[in-house]
Amino acid sequence: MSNDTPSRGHQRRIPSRPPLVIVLLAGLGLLFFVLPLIGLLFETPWTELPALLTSDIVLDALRLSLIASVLATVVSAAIGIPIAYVLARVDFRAKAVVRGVVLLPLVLPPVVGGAALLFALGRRGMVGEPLYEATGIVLPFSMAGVVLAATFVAMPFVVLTVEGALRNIDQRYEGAAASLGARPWTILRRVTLPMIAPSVFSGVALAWARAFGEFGATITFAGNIQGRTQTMPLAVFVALESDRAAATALSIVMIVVALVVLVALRDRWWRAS
Amino acid sequence: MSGLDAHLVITKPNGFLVDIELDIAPGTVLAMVGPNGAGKTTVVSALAGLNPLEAGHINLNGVTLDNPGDGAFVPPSDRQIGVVFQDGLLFPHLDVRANIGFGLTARDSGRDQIEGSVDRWLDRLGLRGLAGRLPRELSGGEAQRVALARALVLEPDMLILDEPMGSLDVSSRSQVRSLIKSFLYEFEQPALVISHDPLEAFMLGDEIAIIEEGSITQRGSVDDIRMHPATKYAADVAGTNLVAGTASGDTVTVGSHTLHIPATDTEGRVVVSFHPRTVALHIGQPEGSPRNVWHTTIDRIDDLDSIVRVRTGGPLPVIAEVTKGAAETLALVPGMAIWVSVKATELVVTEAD
Repeated sequence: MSNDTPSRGHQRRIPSRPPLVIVLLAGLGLLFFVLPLIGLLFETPWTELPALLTSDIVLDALRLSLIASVLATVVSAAIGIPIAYVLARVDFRAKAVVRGVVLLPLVLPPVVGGAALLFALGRRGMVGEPLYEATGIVLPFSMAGVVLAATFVAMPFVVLTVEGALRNIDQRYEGAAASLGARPWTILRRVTLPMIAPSVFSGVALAWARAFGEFGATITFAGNIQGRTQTMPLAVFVALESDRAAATALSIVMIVVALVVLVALRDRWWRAS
Repeated sequence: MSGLDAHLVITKPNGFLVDIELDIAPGTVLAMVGPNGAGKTTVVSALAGLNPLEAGHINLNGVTLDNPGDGAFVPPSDRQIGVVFQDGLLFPHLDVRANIGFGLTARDSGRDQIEGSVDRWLDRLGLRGLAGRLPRELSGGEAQRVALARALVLEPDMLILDEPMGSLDVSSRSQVRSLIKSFLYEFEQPALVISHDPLEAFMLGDEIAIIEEGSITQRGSVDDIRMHPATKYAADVAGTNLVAGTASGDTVTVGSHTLHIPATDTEGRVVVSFHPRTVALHIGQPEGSPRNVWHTTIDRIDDLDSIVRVRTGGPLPVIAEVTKGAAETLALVPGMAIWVSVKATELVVTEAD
């Protein structure tokens, strides 16, 4: 944001000098984020790194993490955007309750979320048991379970951002589109979604980041099976107990992937919003 | 029956009722003028189908678009009513070409037909060079031309212009106004222009409807409204001078000022009206017959096409219309001292109710 908004009358721009306390606290905050990174880099066994990074554990976990987090993001967008649309545009009585339920995973400890998923969708669960008997599909301790757990914690970010954006756009544009002959689906596709695109991408990026780092719900609902449900965070957790060098290597990989994605998205989409 | 035949009954979000009968013949431009909050926007959204009626009906060329009485409702997308919305509302993510083609695309017209129609309208409105621009790269006047093309390319059965000059700066206003006027002149269907600016309404409308607090308080030709304004607002719109005072014999007391009137037997509270062109302006104190003469300053000068409208300050603010030549001869500027005279015989005195 630029500060070059036209000044009114003879208003002069006062050179901004933030209070010293603010600067000190901000510096402290920055240190808080940078120190762990430095610690990690300090611990990293750089010479063993190539071998560690190509080990089965790391490659399996990275592959699984990337696939599962992308799938979870796709599912989050596919059903999170409709939820946001209903919350923003449809008036119904239980709206506050619905919004609360949808956003609950943001504050709920992920382990609790994972347990709840297990009770509902586990092999003996409320929905899981009839599902298994009818189709033979078992969700927990499978790749699908990893995706479900990540979706559960990630989707609220899509709902939150997209609902806010839908509330903020000028709905008269949708009326204008309707008067030009566009039906509701066309309006959504050609006017509403393009107009909120920056927010959709922000929400999707946040959801992906959350899904990529997901741990608690995954380990509870999907378990920790290498090559099947062991994502990067789970692999780090296991490695911390047994092989610190591997743990740091895994961590480095996660940091690099997350940074690359977030910086790329930021340049492309977040500037627009 | 061809043209628009509507009776709109609808409650605004703030709770007050709009109840308006509206008929517009094909090829006629009705200019609806009213103060903010009178219900003008509600009229637009009801006709466009964005806000369903509570009672009444909308018939366009014999087709019922909305009639709560028998449950008929045609959704906005099927109404064939072209609307140029306030602020243009060009889709910000689409370029000029895509904005103009939006309706044709939404209606699944063939690609060739879309390209051809859009090209034709780009040319007609002088927008060819701007086809690839985004709305944020357009001036206000250019954006309004695109909005007009976007509505007209669909060859609508009715055209609504909602405050078409509302967001324009003064310099581009007259240009856009004459452009709109020429397109309205060619338009063979009913047209409705919504405005809060009387001048704009008078220049674009074949007929004027004055809307106040959800009702039409007067409808007629520009001359009807100017000569016989029915309400205080209509008089303001028409520019007629209308002052309230107390009559006694052949004088009317207006605040600290006394106006001489033709002798009447009216006593008590009255409204005195007189047309702006009966008000004369003088540099020096005028001599002769005018009974009503006072000294004041010029508050404001509005340059209309053929005449100049001058608003004077206290003790009795009035509007005077003088010719452009006279204004130049007198070298009128805001703030200058001036003598005002009105012949007593020009004053029309009506009892206030």
